[in-house]
Amino acid sequence: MVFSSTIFLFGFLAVTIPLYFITPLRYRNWVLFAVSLLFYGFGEPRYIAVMLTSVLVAYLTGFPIGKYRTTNPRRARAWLAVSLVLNLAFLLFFKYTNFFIENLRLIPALANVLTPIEGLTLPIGISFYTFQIMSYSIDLYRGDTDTQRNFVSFGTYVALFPQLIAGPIVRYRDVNDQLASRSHTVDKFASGVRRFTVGFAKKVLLGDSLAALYAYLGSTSDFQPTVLTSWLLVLTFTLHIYFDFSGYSDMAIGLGRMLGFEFLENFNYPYIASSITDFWRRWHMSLSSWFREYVYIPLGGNRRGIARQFLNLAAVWLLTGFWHGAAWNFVLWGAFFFVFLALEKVFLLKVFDKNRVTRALGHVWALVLVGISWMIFDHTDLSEAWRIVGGMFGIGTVSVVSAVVGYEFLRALPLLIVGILAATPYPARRLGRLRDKHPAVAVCEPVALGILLVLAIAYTVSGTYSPFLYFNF
Amino acid sequence: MQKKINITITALFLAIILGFGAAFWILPDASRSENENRPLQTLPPITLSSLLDGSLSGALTDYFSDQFPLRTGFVGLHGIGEIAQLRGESNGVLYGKNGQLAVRRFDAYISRTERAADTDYYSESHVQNSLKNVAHVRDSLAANGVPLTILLAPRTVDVAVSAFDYPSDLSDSLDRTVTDALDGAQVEQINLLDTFRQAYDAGEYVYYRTDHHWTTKGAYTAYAATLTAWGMADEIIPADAFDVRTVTDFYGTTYSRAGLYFIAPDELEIWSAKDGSDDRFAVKNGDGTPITERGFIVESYLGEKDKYSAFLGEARSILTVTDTVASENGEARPRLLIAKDSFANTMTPFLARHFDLVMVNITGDKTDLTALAAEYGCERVLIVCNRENLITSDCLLRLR
Repeated sequence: MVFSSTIFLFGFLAVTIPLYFITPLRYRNWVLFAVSLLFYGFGEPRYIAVMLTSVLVAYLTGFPIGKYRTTNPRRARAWLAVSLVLNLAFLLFFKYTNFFIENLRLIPALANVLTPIEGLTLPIGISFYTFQIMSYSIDLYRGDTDTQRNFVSFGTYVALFPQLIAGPIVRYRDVNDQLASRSHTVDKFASGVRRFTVGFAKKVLLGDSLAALYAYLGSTSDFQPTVLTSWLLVLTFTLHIYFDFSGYSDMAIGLGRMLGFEFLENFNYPYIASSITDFWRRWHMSLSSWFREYVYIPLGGNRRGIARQFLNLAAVWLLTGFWHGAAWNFVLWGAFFFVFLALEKVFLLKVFDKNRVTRALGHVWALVLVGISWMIFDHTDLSEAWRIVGGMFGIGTVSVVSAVVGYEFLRALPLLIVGILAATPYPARRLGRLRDKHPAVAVCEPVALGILLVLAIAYTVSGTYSPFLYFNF
Repeated sequence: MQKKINITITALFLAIILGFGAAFWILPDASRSENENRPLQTLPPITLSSLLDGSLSGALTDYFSDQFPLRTGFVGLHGIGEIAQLRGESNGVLYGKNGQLAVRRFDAYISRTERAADTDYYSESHVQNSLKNVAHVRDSLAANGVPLTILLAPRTVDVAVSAFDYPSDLSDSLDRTVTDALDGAQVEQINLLDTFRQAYDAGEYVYYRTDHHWTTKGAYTAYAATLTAWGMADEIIPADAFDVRTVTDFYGTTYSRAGLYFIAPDELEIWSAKDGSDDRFAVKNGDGTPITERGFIVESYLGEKDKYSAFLGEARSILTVTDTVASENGEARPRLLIAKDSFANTMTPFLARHFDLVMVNITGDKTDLTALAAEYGCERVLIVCNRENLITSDCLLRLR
């Protein structure tokens, strides 16, 4: 069940919100846990057992880890290993088994021995909830948090429907207190509604429209590749993935607030980044901080000499790439970032920081490279990615522009301009200033939010409109 | 102040979510969507097996979206949203001057297993191969002394160029490909692109604004051009020999696809001979069951959304049209085999005055024109289909 569907909004949410608020405070986690399982089971009835097993193992191992972490660290470590190995085993099995089999089959001797497992699909959200569960076990072992004795509270933490299937990846210690007690106020609820509505509009009005444009340009490029098509492909995907993903995170954060939770931010205007390094401080922040905290720093971070630091960086980025999908293009995507992050660390950051011109250069560098990286990200067939990236520089194209793509570009210009502006902090900043100056603007806010919500619903409903027309041929 | 605003925002959100949530269950379910021409999902039976195999969640999701309150209104709002952002189109349908609509994106046929979805382009090689096959069919018919003519009706987007700022490059290149291939193979072609463009620019109502077909007037133009090509110009029945009945409120297929509900409807014209001779003709299904007892019009469709189907009814694999008076009198009339899509249906009332017709659906499974022409004793074969069928299907490739 995705947030941008009528069944979620008017079936699930329309029941969950009243049910949650009429339930006495002490039983609200029970409600959340139950509806979250329903939410998950709706799309993945078969895999609910997988998630519950993961939850149960982390919950049960939490007791010995908490008990022995000071008195018998070795024993605590053993129990930590049990939790991590089992959770990672599920992730590895469901997500990566067929990838490994397919690659091992390239060895002639194994080609006939191994066969991919049929019907092995990825349980929704497993990449996200596995990392959440791991953060609990590790934090507990490190003494950063205490054992959660209440199974429902722990289950609610993992399965909480706002962030269950697409993040943000919430660290246990960041919500531990909120699981026990959290405030519910109209102000908080309204702030959740604001955030949710803006995210919904970002996802549906911008993200989905840009996705349709991207798909259209892709097929156009197959017939008549032009330089403009390639640049537009990169631009539309760059904007699409931002609005899609950050819109979804906004919806998650907004839903969380409606239910009394405060989740950490996941995006901070990544496309105004002044370098690749800066980009990764702004993009999918909950994932990058997870890798920093649970992989990079444990490996030694930058404390063991420059050679080891680069090795650690390489490990983190290859894993980050691989986390995004079980295919070589994701590994390459991670490696791509490692190379440019390393270059920035060695000397480029200092160069970019010299003056205004070099800072602007750093910005262009970051945007172009991130744009190119998205083509690697979106194409398991790397020759396709190369066709687009090469096309940006006139390689393999038939012309700079074609009549149809020129037309499409002009017609899509309003969408692209709105998209580019909305990816910067300026609209929000300007609106904030306007509100401070003219209190009347604030009065318009409910109306504006209402319009956004209704428009986003209209685009959602229209997405399911599928006329069957050519009946009378 | 801020408190009041927050209360308003909360109330508004809850009113929308809970209001529509409640309305969804309270309002009765619809079983069909006329605009989409498909049945709507109704409440699926909830069983353990459908729950476990995941099919229940799919059906419930469809149920929610299909039965959503004010669904048509929301689809229309989406259309307005698209036009308001100067997109100039909605759901791949161009929106031009005078409320003219035209589908610009199609699913182009690439191979038996592959389509390029939602594109303005077409596969040059597929078009070439299809037309090469038409030349083979021509050869095969010629061996029996039966001549073949092909009329590839332009699409609305090819004709109504002046209504849009959308470039005509692809229409023009498709036309060049078609003309070059057919001329090169010396297949007799009736090409009406320029005729229709000029007529459209002169303000003539030759193509519908909201449907993908030509109008009755457009069909008459095609009929006259066909007879002229066959050296029968002096037999063309003049337009003023017909009475015109106008059926209003015709919203066609393009209107449905676009979801632009503010567009004014088309008018559908039914031309019948002033001398009452329409009644002489009977349209029969291939198995001999009558489609109409007299004339060409299935009146019941005129009261429905799909008014174009009033011409000869729904698609069937084989139809025959005969002059009952002539056959009762034992008069032998020349027979014409038409391999066609729905564009030919509106030409039928005109052509039937010169020939007994055997009409075979070009997208169906009866594709051996040589055998059919022999079986029915047809002395001519005419292929009439929209260029859309040429680029989106293999119907011309499958002809024998």
